[in-house]
Amino acid sequence: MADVTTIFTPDALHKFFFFLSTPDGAFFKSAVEFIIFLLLSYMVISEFLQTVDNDRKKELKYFMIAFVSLLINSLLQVIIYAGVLFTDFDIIDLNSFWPVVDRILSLITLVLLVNAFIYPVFRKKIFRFEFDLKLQVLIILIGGIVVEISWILQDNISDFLDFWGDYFFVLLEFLIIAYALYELLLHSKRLRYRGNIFLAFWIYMLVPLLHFFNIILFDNDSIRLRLLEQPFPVIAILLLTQVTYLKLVDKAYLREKLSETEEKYKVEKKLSDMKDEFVSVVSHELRTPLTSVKLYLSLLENGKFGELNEKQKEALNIIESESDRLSRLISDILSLSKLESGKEGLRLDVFDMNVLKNPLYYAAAEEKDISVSFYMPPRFAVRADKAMITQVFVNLISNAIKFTESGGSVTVSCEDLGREWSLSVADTGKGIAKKEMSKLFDKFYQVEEHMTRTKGGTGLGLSIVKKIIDMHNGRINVDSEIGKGSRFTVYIPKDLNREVKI
Amino acid sequence: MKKILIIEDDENIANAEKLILEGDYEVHVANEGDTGFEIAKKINPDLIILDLMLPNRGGYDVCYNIRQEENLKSTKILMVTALNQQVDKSKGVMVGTDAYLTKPFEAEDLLSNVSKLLNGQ
Repeated sequence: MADVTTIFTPDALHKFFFFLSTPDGAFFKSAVEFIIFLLLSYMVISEFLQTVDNDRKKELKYFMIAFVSLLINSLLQVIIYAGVLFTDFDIIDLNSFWPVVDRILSLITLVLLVNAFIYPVFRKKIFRFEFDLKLQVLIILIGGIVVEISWILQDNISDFLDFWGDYFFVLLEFLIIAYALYELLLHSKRLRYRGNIFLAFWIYMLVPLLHFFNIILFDNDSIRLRLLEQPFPVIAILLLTQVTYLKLVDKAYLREKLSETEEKYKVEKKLSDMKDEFVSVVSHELRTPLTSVKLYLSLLENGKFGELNEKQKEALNIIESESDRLSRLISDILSLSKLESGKEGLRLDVFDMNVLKNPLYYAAAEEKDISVSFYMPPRFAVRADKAMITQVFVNLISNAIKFTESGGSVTVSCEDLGREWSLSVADTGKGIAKKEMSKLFDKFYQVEEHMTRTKGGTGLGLSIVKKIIDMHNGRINVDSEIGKGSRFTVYIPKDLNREVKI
Repeated sequence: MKKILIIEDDENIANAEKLILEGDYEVHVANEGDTGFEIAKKINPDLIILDLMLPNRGGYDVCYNIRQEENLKSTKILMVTALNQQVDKSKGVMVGTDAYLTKPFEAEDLLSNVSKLLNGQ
């Protein structure tokens, strides 16, 4: 049994490379290449025919042309080498024009490949892309014509082609690949699998580079260098094949991801709808018995069922304020739930903030002998959801009144701040401790004080305020000092169109 | 005395409403949409207090049917509901409701709405 390591000795490799440069080897190499390109072309063409998306169709079109031209190139090579091997076809006959044709075909293919892989970068700048493509083809054609003419003027074509012709084409190849790498460096972020594409083109670059060295250092005589460059085009093509395959596979993967996401969305939506229906039904179910409670309370308090003693009246008052609180809680939960479900968009309208001066909104202030003053221009028009901003104002001012002692004052002011406007509610109440600040806007959070709980707060007021402000893409600021008072300021941007979150 | 017809399926609420209103008005009660409609046709009330969530026939339908009746065309309709979305209100306006009351409401709210509909204008 032969030792495995002996198969891959440098000697064996050398023999293989040498084999590749003989007509048999060349035939073998071109046959392998042909089969690879055939498979690739089939993949790309079938993908192209299946695609409906126009953008992708364009991208695939360039792939298609690139690989089909590679296919034609390698087919011609297979035919020629087959001809040399199996018929009397003498390669010398071809020597006059085949190398030129071959080189030109290779260059065109190279250009097409470069464009196919860099296409995603140029997709938006179609003009530039087409311009470059035409420019490149033009350069090649001119180059080809120059060579043809020089050939006509020369006697010894093989001498010429061996040196200047090769030199010229190698230079062109080098330039095209260098251009590809340059574009890749500039725009690599926009390309998927940029690593692989980069690597492929670098490897491809080795061919003209090696050829270059051969020409410069060894007068194109070094067999070693010529052998060395044999496998690289194939390796590069294989890498590009891998990228093409990946890109094609991407589509299947993306389609799968998309249907997964659609399923998830359907489930989420259903849950959300169920939640909304639940909240809606529950709030209705809760409100009905509450109606009975209130109505009978009223009847009792008005003596409809007989005279009441003091104790009975007191008890009824407590029942009444608690059922009021229950009612407010249900409303707040329903409001917050609707806001959070995100289904309620903003109803933007232009209105004057002076409408907030309606005493109905701060009726409790009079009972507590708290003065309410307004500082805003006689006309202060803003664009926002009127009902929601009113709610914000009502919540802020009822908090202010709640936490201020009798005889205190509440100040409401509006200001135009250029790109945004502000609404500020300040009180001379007991203030908010620093440690309470972070939890202020949490649901059901109420400052830990026995007093405030019996004052009928729901704990949701500020959560609702925060939610509304978020929907307007605004912000809220709290300034407070224990014993001195608090100031809640809301800032709303004037330009809501671009930024509004629905 | 002006006649009021209450169409409300919750007995407690219907009873409470009756007690609140019977001092100043002649009050009739129906617990169901179709029965309510029949009674309405018979007694020709000046105001109908209509609950939205009725069994068998929804409040909107009853409202619509009442409006189709010739001699009930001038009857005022006060709709009572726990749902207070904008959608419901405009729907109510479309079928011919004159006013809306949202649950839970105070006895005072009921009285003021009724007197506004029957006496004010």
